[in-house]
Amino acid sequence: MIGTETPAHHGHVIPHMKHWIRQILFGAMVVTGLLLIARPAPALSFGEARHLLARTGFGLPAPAEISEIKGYDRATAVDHLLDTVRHGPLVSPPAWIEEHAPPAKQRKTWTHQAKQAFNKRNRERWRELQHWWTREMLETPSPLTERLVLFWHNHFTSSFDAVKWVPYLYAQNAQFRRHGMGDFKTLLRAMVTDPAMLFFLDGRRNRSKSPNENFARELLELFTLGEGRGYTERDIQEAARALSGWSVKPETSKPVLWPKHHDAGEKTIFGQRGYFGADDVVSIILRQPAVARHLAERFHAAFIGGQADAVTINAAAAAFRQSGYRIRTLIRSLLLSDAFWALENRGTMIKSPVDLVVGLGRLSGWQGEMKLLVNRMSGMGQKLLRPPNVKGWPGGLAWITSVSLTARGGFVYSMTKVLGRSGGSGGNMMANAMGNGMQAIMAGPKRAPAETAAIVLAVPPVRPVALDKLSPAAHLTALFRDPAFQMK
Amino acid sequence: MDLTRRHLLAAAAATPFALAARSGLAADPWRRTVVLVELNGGNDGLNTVIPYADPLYRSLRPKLAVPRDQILTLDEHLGLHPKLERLMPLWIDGQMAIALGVGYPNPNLSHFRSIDIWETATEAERFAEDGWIVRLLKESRPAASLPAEGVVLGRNDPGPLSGEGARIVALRRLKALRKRNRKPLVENIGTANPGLAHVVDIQNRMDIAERRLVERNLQAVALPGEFPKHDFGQQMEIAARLIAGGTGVPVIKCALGGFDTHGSQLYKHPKLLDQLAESLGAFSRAMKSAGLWDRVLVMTYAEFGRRPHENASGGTDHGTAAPHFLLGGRVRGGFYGEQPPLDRLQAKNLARRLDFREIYAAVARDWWGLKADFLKARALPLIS
Repeated sequence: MIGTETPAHHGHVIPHMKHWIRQILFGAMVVTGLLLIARPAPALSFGEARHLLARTGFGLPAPAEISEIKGYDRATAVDHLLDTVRHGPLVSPPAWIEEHAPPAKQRKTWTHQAKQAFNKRNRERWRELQHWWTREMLETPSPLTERLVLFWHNHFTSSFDAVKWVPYLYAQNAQFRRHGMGDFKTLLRAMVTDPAMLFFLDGRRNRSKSPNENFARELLELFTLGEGRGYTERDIQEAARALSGWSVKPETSKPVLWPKHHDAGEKTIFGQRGYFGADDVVSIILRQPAVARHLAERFHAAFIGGQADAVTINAAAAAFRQSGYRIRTLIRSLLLSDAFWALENRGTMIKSPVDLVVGLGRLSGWQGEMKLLVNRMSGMGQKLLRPPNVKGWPGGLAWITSVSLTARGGFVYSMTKVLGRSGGSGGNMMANAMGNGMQAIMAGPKRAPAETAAIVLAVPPVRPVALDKLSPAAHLTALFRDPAFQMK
Repeated sequence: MDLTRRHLLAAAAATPFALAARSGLAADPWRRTVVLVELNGGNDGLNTVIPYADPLYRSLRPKLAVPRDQILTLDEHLGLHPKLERLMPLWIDGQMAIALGVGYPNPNLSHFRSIDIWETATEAERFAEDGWIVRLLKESRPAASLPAEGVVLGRNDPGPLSGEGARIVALRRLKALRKRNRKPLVENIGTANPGLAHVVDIQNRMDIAERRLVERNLQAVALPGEFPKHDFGQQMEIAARLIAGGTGVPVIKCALGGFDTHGSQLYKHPKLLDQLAESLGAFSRAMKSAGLWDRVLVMTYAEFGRRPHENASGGTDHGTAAPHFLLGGRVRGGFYGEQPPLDRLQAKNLARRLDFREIYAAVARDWWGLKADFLKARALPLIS
């Protein structure tokens, strides 16, 4: 039984790591040692280590990743994951992200053909950016980083449907990576005048003489307070006035405030009166206690799932607020909560399409085109950089419909077809593009069937298999194709 | 709902002969089909059923007003957008009802909350888990021999069909119905892990429904004329095949997206109305030629209408009341309710003239013969 294995041998793991990781680990170990003297905290079991990595990554950690953190106690392991979050991409983004959008005046002179060519190139760039991001998810040494970027993409949504100039979508994605684990105030302030957001929710069309409330409404309803949490229609209208006049300067791709379109009059928001602008709106909103609560609930849904209990949410919200909105504090509180580790909460979340595809992609050491993976995600209902609406992907049970489940089954089938065959020969395009990760699971130390299941699945398989009749490869294939593989 | 042996037995007992199954269902209230068409994003009612005779229409819509000479006259006050021309034959034949000023008290302008209210049929201040169709299914269940109780086409959101216990299949393409035999169904795994139970449940339902739909060979069903190739046209084609193929599915949900026209409405909205009318026109032709038009009811719905004042982006913001359409051989054509007056707006929006639950009540009681007490509304006399 894996859960009762002795703690990992650090000396075995460390020589394979980069120098700086080793240093951090060494520091962490010293701290762990000191903590152990004060109050011994038990090392993670295999199942706990897998759970932490599955929930903070893409649902399917590799055995080596599990071994790496297995010797730590909970706090050390969580801090290790939080401390190694990155703030920039590993994979170089496309060169065109530096380009500026052609100004409207220029575009008005274009022929029909020129417009069509422009639209076509934008679509290609959107796909290219999806491929770039997927590659980053596959290659990053910190899956949590990209999980956070995806979390924020699903929170401060923007879609290619409304943001046709793709460099704006990249810039927003970079903001999520830069500030995603930092200061929520900074992130929120950036989003209020973010170019992609100004397009997506019509902020650039919100002018003093003709207010457009779209962004102000979602700012309160989805991004900060939560639906129906203590704001009125009047607050929305007044916030829209305070946010009026912002647009994107095409020459710089930066937000700009046009004074002639800004409503400089007095506004009343949440009972406060003043000649408010964008910064004031952010400050006033952040004084509302509902914000910390709403964000705690959103992160709870992303990392713990299921019905949120008041104790966990209150503790996380209070810590978040007291820290001055440090996102790290909020996530740390949730990842160290009893609810996160409770046995009954493990293996209970349905993997998102990104989890399913990137998880298997990382495990297999995918060598093929990103296009193949991105197309599969789309078929399962998750088009990166194109969420269904401003509320993002609903997630949870909604991921599973007969259509999406068929697409999921097809993907897993393609990815596991190669198992039990020598090399990739005879496999399909997907199977041929896989590295040796799958074989590595099989070629590793000889394992009991239950141990193999504990690596591949978060919960025991629901389809009984006749183990005595199956080869190890066929058993592994059956595990990947079991409904339990949809869970993390 | 757990799909255990009982359902397997029912599935095995289901006869592959559609006619035999149909005659056995004669007393089943669910034998008639409703096709729900969601106008996703909130349709601009004022540019759909147009109060052309009211001079305020033009002053509220300096850029967006449809020119008088293009409007299709319905009566001396109201007309249809020109792109809805393909619906005119149904109007003239008295097979299209237009419910005017449809909304609910204390309107909510959030897409998500408002569509929730429509889909669960609750008051704006109350919340319900189940969609209104699922609530009806709790009153009376269709025969277990039906391949599914509802089919969701297009956008993956089941809407009124979401909730506990309904046998729902989501279909994008008929090709998704695969013939290969699946592994045996998984036994009921209990409720300790609701997520996993959901996956297993959907997998089982899908396997059962697919086995049954495959038997119907829907791709071979002959339909007169062509359906449009765009996504909504394809949804209506699958709906037509499901009905003409004798599957007996009582509820089919379709969706046409893109109605959230905050900007560039002059370009976007006519295209959407064109897709809508073109597809519904093809659908009604197909049903008539199959002799099934009397057994089908099509109804549109959306989270809200849009604001009467156009905005500076050439669009319209979230509004409240809007007109909706009901089509079918047994629909009593004509207007219901009345056009909300443009000179008496409420908080800049149109005042409601009908409650959407009055339409639902007509569908539940006069179409399906159910009680539907939870609707707490009188039924409009929409159905003959």
